[in-house]
Amino acid sequence: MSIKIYDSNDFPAYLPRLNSLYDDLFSGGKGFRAKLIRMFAEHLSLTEKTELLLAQTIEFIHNASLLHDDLIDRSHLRRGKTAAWLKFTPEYAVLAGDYLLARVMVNLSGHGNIRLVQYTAQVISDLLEGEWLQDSLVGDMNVELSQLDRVHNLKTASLFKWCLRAPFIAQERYEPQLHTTLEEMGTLLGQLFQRSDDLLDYDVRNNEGKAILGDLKSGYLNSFGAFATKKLSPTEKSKLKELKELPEFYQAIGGKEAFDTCLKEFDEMNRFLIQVYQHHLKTLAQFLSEKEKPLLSQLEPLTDILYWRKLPGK
Amino acid sequence: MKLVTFSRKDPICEQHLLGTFSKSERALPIQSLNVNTQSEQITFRVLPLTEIKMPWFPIRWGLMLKAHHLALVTFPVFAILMKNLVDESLRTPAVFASSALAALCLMTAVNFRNDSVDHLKGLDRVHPSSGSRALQKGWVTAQYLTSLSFVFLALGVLFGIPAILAHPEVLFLIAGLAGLGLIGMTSFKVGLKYRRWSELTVFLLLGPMLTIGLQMSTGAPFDLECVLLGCVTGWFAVFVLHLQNFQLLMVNDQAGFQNTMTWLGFEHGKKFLALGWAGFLGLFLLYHFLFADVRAFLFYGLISVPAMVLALIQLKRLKTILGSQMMNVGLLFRGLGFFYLGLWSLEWVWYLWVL
Repeated sequence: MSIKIYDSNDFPAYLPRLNSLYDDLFSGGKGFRAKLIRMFAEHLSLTEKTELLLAQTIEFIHNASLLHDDLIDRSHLRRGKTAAWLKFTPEYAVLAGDYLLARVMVNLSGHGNIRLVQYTAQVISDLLEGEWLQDSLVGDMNVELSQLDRVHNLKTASLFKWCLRAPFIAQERYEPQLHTTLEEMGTLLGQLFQRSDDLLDYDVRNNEGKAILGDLKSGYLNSFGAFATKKLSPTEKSKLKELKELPEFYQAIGGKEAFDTCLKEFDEMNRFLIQVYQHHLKTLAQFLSEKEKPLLSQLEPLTDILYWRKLPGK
Repeated sequence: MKLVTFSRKDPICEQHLLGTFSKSERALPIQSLNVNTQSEQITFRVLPLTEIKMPWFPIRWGLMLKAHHLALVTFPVFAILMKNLVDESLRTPAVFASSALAALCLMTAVNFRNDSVDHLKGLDRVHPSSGSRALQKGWVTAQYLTSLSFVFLALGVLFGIPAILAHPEVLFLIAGLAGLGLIGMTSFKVGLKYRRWSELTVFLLLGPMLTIGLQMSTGAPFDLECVLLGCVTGWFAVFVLHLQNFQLLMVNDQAGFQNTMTWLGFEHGKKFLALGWAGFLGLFLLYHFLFADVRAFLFYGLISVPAMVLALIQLKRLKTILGSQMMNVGLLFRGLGFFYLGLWSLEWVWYLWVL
């Protein structure tokens, strides 16, 4: 079954510009988070209605965050198209993002599970806290990886956590240990996804052709940047903002060989996170029925997809 | 790599936290960004003892003892000693030495107990850079650290006996100190530094109670100078505590740990730190105005202006709870504070050998 996450009929017909903005926004995404929901829905036997509600919820929240994110970062492009704040106006982008979040609450409250509403509100709150904190770190070239991890746990991982926990909450399965396990798994997936995404900035496994040194040029030292430059002095770090090309970055940290060594160490550190994730899968198995256990084999390759950027099934 | 997960309520989890589950392995809890979720469970990385990298013995112990924390006791000890040497009033040096050792042992006992409690409670998995890291790195077990804390407590009491015998009035202070120490050691629910009222305890333990006790143990009469000296050192110790809690404001708030800084919040916390620093400088100058050489007072008066301005500028610049500015604030205040204590130590030497 394919889910239609976005339908213009979901939004008021008397707001044509809003619909036009959403048409652009929803047409290009991979819908990874919705696919994750589908995966759970299939194995946990969620009803079609619940599955659609959850998939819509996560995509609405994610897209609302993108609308706000692009404006905060002043990004000109989103999914290869002109960013909403630029194509329409910054005010429209903010309102469109807020409207999506409001729809989430309207739709979820209609479902009637107050715990799901409460948890979703918490995730939105975490997301905004993360966005706020991340913005406050722009220009700080001495930020540490552990501090960025805290931001990413709020900003990136909160949505992964939601994808993992919400299907169980929707089924009114509230075992605390189950949710602690899922929370940890979500954190790990979020961290791995973010770190891999940050590597694209340094042209590592950059199959998507993402702009090189984009974060650094915007004054943001991302997770790999913080890891690779941890041994530099504050004065050396302050010059990183001026770098325009990747070879200049190699030079700044001691050459291409030093960069490769650093990448190896970074990958090694993340391999450990992957091992912890695989371990949590075993813990998760204790909470699943025999019928639900095939879900584990689908959750297992997620780290390959998210961190190593391998295509599903390869 | 062996990973195991236990529910916090499972007795085997307690054994892993304490390190009593095996004689040949250590269980290192994996850091979590999600502590205080509904029902906590802990994932451990189990390593054979042979795989644990131990630093050189003196370095390991130096880190475990937290030299910068011990300085908060060693400085008052040194200051009272020098004061009485300058005044030529050190009548019972052996009793003083014994009391000084008692104070150091009690501080070490509280230190070890706090690390152990933080470990059992899970605080050291939320605060990745706080504490000595000896437990997180598997150098020692929590059980060993707890036992050590009781050994040091016993030594503290033992070393305190000569002072009690020589000057029975010290008993009141020792009793007070031991009482406060015991509260810290037995408060299993949360470590001493996370209690809202801990400020007063720290102030008294590392301030006036300590200096008055030490002064009495010298055999010299009680005087206002030792009280004010204690107020300066106690104030500084509390300031360091607030500074640490300010730097961990976000983590503590997320994890639901309450203290003065989480109550005040970021902006008010900054103002509170500025006031705390001004208070430290004020007490420092007051002491020197009343009891020190006028040249020393004028010197400190002069350097305190830039020290205050620098602190205010740094706090004003601080816009976010995360990032390097926050680390710089910590470094600046700790650096300035210990710089003042260092200068004060030199001043004592100056009085004793130059003047």
